[in-house]
Amino acid sequence: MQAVQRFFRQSLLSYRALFGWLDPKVYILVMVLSPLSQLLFFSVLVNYVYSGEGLVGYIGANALILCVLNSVFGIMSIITSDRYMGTFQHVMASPVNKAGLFLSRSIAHVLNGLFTSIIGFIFGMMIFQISIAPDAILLLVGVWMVSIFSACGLGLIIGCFCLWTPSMNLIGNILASSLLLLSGANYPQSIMPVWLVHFADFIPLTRGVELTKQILNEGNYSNVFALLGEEFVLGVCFFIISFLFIKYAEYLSRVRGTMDLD
Amino acid sequence: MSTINNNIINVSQVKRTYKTEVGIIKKKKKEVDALKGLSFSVNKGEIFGLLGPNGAGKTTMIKILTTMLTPSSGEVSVLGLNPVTDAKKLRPHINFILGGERNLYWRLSAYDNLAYFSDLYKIPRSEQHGRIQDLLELVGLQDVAHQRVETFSKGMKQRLQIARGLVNNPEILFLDEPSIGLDPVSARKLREIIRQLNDNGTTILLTTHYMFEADELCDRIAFIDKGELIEVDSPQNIKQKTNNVSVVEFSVIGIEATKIQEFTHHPDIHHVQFEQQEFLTKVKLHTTDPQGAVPIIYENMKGAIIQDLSITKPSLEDVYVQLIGGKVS
Ligand SMILES: Nc1ncnc2c1ncn2[C@@H]1O[C@H](COP(=O)(O)OP(=O)(O)OP(=O)(O)O)[C@@H](O)[C@H]1O
Ligand SMILES: [Mg+2]
Repeated sequence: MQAVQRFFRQSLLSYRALFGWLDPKVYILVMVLSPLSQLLFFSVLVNYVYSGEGLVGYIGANALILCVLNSVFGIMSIITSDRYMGTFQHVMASPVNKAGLFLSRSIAHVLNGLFTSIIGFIFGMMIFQISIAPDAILLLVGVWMVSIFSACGLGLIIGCFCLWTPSMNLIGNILASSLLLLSGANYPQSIMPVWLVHFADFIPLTRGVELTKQILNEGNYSNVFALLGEEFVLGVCFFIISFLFIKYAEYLSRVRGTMDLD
Repeated sequence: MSTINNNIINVSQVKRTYKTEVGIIKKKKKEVDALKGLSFSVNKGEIFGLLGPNGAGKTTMIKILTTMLTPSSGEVSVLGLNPVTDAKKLRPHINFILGGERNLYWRLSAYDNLAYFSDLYKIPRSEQHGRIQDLLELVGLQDVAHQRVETFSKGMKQRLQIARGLVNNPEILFLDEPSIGLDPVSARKLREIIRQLNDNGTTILLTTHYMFEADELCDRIAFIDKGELIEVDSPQNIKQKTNNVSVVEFSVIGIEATKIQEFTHHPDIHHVQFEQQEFLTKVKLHTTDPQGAVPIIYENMKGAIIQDLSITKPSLEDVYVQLIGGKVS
């Protein structure tokens, strides 16, 4: 029980400590308005190009992606801002279990992503006056939660890269545009070159976007469990890889002395 | 256990080499020997000072003792544990503080910072509240407990760091330049806190560049330079070692540096140090024969104005400068 309480307190405190966007004004600006304006842009574009065909699916997929990107940036800050504040080495030299710690730090960002993507989706539905089947809602929340989880795993890996390079923004932007490109949020995956489609299988959100479109456009729920299972496994792999990266960074710092964790 | 051992830190022949790459295209490997076979030990309940010039290897040593760095060779034991292999076991029993304003979560309050780190050290929730209150009181921050750290002055941040270092009630506390950048009053307050902690049984290992601080606080001191041990003893004993040496200090107006340097040729004068200021030059001589030295000074400085001449016992700083050389900053 103690451990569970600690897990969630760590999650909340580190969200406030490292992210610092709990100021409602800033939060609304960064986490809601910015993705909403992008969502609007892509929705209008897609609506124009496909003349409204499959629009609801595209809106859902874009809401998911854009808000998730914010979460991913947030999760990168788990490492970069800890380092910036000089607390990273204290954290690393404390007795706490590091995998558990970074997982607890991620939780807040997963929930954050879920919250903002739902807001974004509702916003999109209101603008284009569309509605969805009630039974799709719960399923969609589940799909999104898993997609966001796996995207956060990738975010943590990217955060680890920031231990090696100071140009977090550059890496973040590359990640953002690759996810937009590969996930198929704004066009059917079938129009992409084959090798890109294969590559897209290994990035998060591809399945989430696919499922979102299937659920919303076709009312097709048959692939949910298979694809969601894959997405979850992918997410777990990402988290494991990121923990290995953190361990490797610790090794470089402790043994080789070629990396400063402060 | 065969012998009762009072040493809670044992460092034996510790070496540490840093390998770095220099150059962007043609990468050349460069090696720095930060520690070259350092040995010393710290007794339970001591305040132990690690002193030495920039780059001497003090921070490197502290990082090794606190499990953050592994030695290239040599033996280290802290509380009977090896920081390299037993890091997990050791970490709950020690803590460390790096001087300066960083190493805190600026967006959190003082209280939340301590709560966060208490969780990292797995302090049970039931104990946390009382403990954090005590710590805030110890460092005099109870009135600003719920204020964000970013609104704190440097001194307040440094004191909060001390409290942070105590969340797990460590048996040994490592302090790397805790008083850096503090005003005299804050620095004194910090020393009081350190002494109080020590009275309560915490063993303390600290580094500082302020000799009077080390003299005032430390039970024993190790001088290190370029990764090697120069001297280890109590401040009193270290000063006694130069017992027959006196320090002659004076200011002089209207003299060239070369003239002052000539003192080095005199057999009874061991060490000459001077600092050019705007109008005058401050000179410090170490001599075993002050009575003989004073007439020589006047002799050599004919025509110049000599002021504020004094003969004193060497301070720890004088000994430091004599042993390690170089100028006092
Ligand atoms: N990560 C590193 N990579 C390469 N060289 C390093 C590294 N850290 C320290 N050094 C080198 O090791 C030597 C000892 O450094 P250290 O930081 O231990 O000195 P210090 O006694 O703490 O100095 P200061 O009083 O300036 O803090 C220096 O020559 C320094 O340049
Ligand atoms: Mg140092």
